[in-house]
Amino acid sequence: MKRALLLALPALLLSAPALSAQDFSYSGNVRIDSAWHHAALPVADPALPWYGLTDWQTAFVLAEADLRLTTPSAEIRVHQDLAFDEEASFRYRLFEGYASFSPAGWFTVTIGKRHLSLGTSYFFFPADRLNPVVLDPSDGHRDYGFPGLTLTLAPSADFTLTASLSFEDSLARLRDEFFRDFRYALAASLVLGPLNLKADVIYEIDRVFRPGGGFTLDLGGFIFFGEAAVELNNRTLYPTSPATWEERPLLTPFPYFDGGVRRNFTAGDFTLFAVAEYFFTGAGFTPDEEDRFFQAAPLGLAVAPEHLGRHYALFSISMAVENLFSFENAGVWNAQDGSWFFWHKIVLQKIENLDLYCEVVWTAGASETEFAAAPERLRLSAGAVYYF
Amino acid sequence: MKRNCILMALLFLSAAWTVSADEAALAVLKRMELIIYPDNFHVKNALTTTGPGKSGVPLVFDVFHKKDVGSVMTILSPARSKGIRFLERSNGLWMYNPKAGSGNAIRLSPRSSFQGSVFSNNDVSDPKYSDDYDVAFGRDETIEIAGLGKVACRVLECAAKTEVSPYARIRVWGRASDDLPLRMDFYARSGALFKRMTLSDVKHMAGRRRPSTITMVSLEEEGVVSTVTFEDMTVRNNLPDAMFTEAALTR
Repeated sequence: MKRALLLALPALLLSAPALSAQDFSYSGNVRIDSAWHHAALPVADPALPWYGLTDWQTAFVLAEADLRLTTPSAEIRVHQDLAFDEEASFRYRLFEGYASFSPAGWFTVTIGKRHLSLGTSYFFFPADRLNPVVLDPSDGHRDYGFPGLTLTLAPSADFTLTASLSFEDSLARLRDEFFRDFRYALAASLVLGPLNLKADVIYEIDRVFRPGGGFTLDLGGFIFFGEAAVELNNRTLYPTSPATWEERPLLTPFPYFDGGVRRNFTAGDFTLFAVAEYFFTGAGFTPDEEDRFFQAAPLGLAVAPEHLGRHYALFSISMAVENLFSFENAGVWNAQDGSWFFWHKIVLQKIENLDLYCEVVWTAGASETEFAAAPERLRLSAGAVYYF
Repeated sequence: MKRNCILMALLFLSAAWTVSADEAALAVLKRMELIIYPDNFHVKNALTTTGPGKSGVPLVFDVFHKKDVGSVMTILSPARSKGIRFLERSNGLWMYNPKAGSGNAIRLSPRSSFQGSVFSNNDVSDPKYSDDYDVAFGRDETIEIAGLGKVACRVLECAAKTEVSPYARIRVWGRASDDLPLRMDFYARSGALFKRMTLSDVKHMAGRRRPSTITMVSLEEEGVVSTVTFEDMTVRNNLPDAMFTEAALTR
């Protein structure tokens, strides 16, 4: 909490000169949520309030606000939320909090916590090792920004070059040689008619060195996308025997690639959105290594790669009738161990600015598989969101 | 020999006349488009769709458009959709929804309906057709226009240059005396007429008199009508190209 407030402070201070801004805008929502959870086995972690239980309930109230102060050459943005749960505890999250200045139309400098759009895929982003990955299974997927500095050059609308410096790891470790924890990124984006190309390279001394790129292409309304990257500084420990785990030498190439297609179908008020995506991660464990990972747990929990297996697929199909309801479904499949993660959500939108929703999240698979290894197998939640 | 030469000359003259007529028709279409929108502008719109099963809740959004570059749209209300942005560029369309939890923009198809209205994404984000259609003069007509009575019109026949154009054919009616655009009919690839646009409520905006209301009637869904009202329009010749990039969209 303190760290988040510290990160927000520069953006709030930098907002002072913009008090004469021409435009202040905000959007946000207040949400109330109640959930029932079911685990396959009694929860084993004594630190958790539901220790020893297989069924338990949670609830929270959450307020989210996205504030922007805009002048012709500057913008301040703070996007955050605050939750209060059934244990009477508060949780504050700062997704983004930054100030950006454009002394010339083609040049922008951004200071603060900002998410940078890297890669071209829908769900997996192998070329993105800059934005932090924060897993919060209680509240779906959220993208957080990284604290740092970004320079954006757009000499034309077809070509953009971005250079970033992330302080995420420096702030996390706070050691004397803090500059050794800086993460650097250089990214380019090019639009050529229906084809959009992107390339980037992310680097941090001895931790990350990942060049990558991707494309999107509109062919008759079908949006094809692909992304590839090579990780050269992968520090994951791999099991070489049941008892020994070793890192691969620096500059060992670990390839990643990803590809898929998505399509929007519209008929009057009705919209159908479908996505299929395949992801290969060369840094994931092979089937033997995945078996050893589960045999070595809890040691294994500390050394898992970004993705436990090597082959994944995402399937998503959503439908909506404007101002009436939406029904979203997604499944992520670890094709190597056969485990699944499913998510379904139905939202009633008949009342202006008020959503009523019901959500189901569940996993399937044998006990020693990636998605079924977590004790929680099912979560049913219902709630309401009021937008302002 | 002499006869052949005369025939050749007639053919040449005929071709030249056709080219020149097409150029003149294109010039008229461009003039009509400049009456609707300036080359570079900012406009605040209110879009309402009515009909069976439609909520009729107005959607307010603003549009920045730069000639030969693209458009950026931001939804201002209702609150549920507030902050959603669209970027239209070189036959590509991206949507960024800050409420979705993802910091990335999603690429969409320009032909899809814009927020459940009768307008397509392309109608709203790239409102000029002269770049994507071959234009020729049709037969002049006199049509009945609400508030204006019977109006003598020039008719333009616009045919899509490529398969990616959002409509196969468009017919445009403009007042013969000053090329004020009054009506457009949109045809699908099947040849069916499926949407009709009328332009009305001429007001002084952005330096000249322009229609301030555009109504699009669906001929596929009975009784479904979308109406856009321009609440404010200004000429903006200093918009930087950097505004029309994905980096700016996801900011």
